[in-house]
Amino acid sequence: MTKKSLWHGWTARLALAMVALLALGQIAVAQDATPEAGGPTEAQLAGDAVVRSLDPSAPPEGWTIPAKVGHVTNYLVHEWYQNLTKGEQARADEWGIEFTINDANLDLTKSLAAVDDFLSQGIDVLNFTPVNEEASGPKITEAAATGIPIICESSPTDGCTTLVSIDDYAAGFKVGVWAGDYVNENLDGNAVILDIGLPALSTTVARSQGFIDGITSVLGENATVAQSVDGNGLKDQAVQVSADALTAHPDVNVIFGINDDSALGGMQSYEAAGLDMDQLLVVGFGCEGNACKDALMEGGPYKVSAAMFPEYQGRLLIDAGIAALNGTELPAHTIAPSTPITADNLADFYTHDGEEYTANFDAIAALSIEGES
Amino acid sequence: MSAESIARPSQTRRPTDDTSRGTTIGQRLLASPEGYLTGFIVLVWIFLSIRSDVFLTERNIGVLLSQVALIAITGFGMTLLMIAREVDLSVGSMQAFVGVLAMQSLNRWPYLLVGIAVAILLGVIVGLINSGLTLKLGITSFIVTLAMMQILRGAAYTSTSAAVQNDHKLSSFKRVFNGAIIEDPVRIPWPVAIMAFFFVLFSLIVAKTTFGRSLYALGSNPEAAALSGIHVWRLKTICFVITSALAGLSAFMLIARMNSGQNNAGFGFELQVIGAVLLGGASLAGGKGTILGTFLATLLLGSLNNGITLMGYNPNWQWAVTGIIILIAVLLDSVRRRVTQES
Repeated sequence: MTKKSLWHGWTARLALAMVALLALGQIAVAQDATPEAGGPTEAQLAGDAVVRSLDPSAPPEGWTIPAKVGHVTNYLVHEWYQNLTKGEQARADEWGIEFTINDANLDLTKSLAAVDDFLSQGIDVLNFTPVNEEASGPKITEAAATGIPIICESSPTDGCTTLVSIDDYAAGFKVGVWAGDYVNENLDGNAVILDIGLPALSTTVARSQGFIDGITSVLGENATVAQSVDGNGLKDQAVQVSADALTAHPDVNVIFGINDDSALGGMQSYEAAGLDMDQLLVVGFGCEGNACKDALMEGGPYKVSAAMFPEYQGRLLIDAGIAALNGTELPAHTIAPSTPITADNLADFYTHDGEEYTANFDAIAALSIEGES
Repeated sequence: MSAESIARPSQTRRPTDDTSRGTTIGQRLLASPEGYLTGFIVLVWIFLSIRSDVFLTERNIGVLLSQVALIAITGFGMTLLMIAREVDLSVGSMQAFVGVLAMQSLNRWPYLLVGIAVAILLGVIVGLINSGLTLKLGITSFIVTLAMMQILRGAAYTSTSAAVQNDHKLSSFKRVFNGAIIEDPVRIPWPVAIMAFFFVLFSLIVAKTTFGRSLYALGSNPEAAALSGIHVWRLKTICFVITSALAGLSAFMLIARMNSGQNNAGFGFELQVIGAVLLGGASLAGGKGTILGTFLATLLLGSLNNGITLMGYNPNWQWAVTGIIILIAVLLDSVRRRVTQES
C-alpha cells in the first residue's frame, strides 16, 4: 500500500522551511548600526541644546506642539522597548500629545506598512525604529518628503531627521575602564575575559570592542580575551555557549555581555560550573530592567553595567520631534547619555520604591556626552 | 483490503530489526541509523579530542550531556509522536510559556514540587488541546501546533513584560539543573540522570510493550491499524500528551538552568528537537524511529555544537553544521534503503 501523507512532497518541505524562517527570524535582537560620519554644525549643536532643555511647563513662545506622535517599534516585547515607550508615553502626556505605538515584531513588511498607516492617520511626528535600516531607507525617505519630522531610534536610516541613541563604543569603553580599575584593585591586575557578544549587529560589535579597548587601556597586556562567543542576545543561548567556553577556559575571571541577558546568562554558567564566584567580575550592558538592577544590589559578581536609560531616551525622542517640527536644526545623531552604573551610584539614577525603579531624569540629563559621536 | 494486509501489533517489525542485515562492519554501520550515528559520534569524538584538550574531560562530558538532556527528553516524546505520524511544533514556545508560569508559581508557592507539577500539568493541557484539535477537527498536527506555537509565545509575552526573576530562592531549585545526583566515582548531573531515566523508560515502552508495537503499526499504516483494533485516537492522544508533558519538564529544567523564566526562551528549540528525531531515523511519514536513534542524534548534534565553541569557531556554524549532518543522514538513509532493497 502506498503511504499518503501531508508530509510528502513540496508542501511539507515548504512548510518546514517557513517554520524554520519564522523561528530564526525572531531570534535577532534590536538595535543596529552607527551614525553617519561628520561632525555637527554650530546650528545643529544649538538645536541639540534646545532639545535637551525643553520643558513642557514652559514651551518656547510660538511653538506648535504636535497633536499626534506615532512610534513604529521593531520588537516591543523586549524590556528595552517596554521602558523606552513608557518614557515616550510619559513625556507625551506632559506635553498633551496623543502617542501611539505600532510594533513590527521584527517583520520588515509590517514595519513599512505601519509607516503608511501612521501617515494616513495624519500624525505630526514619526518615531521610527527600523527592523532593517538599509531596507527601510526608501520608505522613510518617502515619508520624510511629506514634510513630517522622522526621529529614528537605535539605528540611522536614510530620511531620518535625527537619530537618538547612545554611542555604543564610548559606553563600552567607559565600562571597560571601570572594569580595568576594579580588576587592578580586586583581582590582582589580570583579566581573562569571556566576551558574550552578538557579531551580527554593528552596535553590539561596537559595545564589545569598546569594552575590550577600555579594559586594555587600563591593564595593557594583562587583559586577554579568552574567547568571544555569540549568545544571540538571549539568556538561554548565552548560558549554553558560555558553559562550553568556560569548560575550555576555566581561568576566565571577567565576563562581558552585550546586554543584561547575555551577562546574567554567563554568570549563571560560571556558577553552575562550580567556579569561584568571589574571583569573578560580570559586566553588563543596558541595565534596562529589574534583573540588572537587582543583580547589582545583590552584591555578587555582577558589579557594573553600561546603563542606557531607555526611559530618558523616550523623553529625548519626543522632545527631538517637537523641536524638529518647529524648524530646529538637529545633528544627525542626538546622543543619549550612558554611564557605568553600580550598586554605589544606582540610587543616583533610579529611585526604588520596593518594587519599581523610577528614573531620575535630572541626574541622567546631567551626565556628560562630551567626546561621544 | 485483504486480511493478510492488515498489520497486527504483534507482527509489526521495528526499524531496528534490520540491523542484523549485512556482514561487514561497513554494512552493519550502514544497516541502521543507530549504526551510522554511532560511527559518526566516534569519528567526531576522536576528532574533537585531538583538537581540544578539554573535550574528553569529565567536566566537559558532564556539560555536554547536561545540555543535550533538554533536547533529548523532549525528543523522546517527539519520537513517539512522529512514529505515530504526527508532529508538535509548539515545544519551543512551551519553553517560554511554561517557564514563565512555573517561575511565577514558584515565587508565589515556594515549593519545588509545585513548580514541577505546574510545568508538567501545563504540558498535559497543551498536549490535550493539540490532540483534540488535530484528531477531533481533523486539522493536521503541523497546522495546529504551528498555531499553538504562536499562541504560547504570545501568551508568554503577554504574561510578563520582562524575565520572571527567582524571588523564592529555593536551594533545591538550582540543583534541578546545576547539581549532581552522584559525585563519586563519576559526577552525574541531575539532568543527565533524568535523561537516562526517560531513555530507559521509553526504550522499554517502545520495544517491549503492546503500546510500542501498536505505535509502529499505526504510523506504518493507519487504516490497517484501525481495522486491526488499535485505538488510533487514544494512542495519538497519549503521544501528544507525553510530548507536551516532557516539553513542560524540559522548560522547568531550563528555568532552573537560567535561574529565571524568560519569555524569549526556546527560539528554535522545536527545530533542534525535530531535527534530532529525524536524524535519529524517524520519518515525517510515520512508522519509523527509535529512542536510541533520537538519543544518538541529540548526542551527535550536541557534540558538534560543543566542539565548535571549544575550538573557538564562529558559533553560527552550529546552524550550518546541523543542517549538513541532517542532509548526510538523509543521504545515508537513502543509500541504506537502496542497499536493503537490492539485497
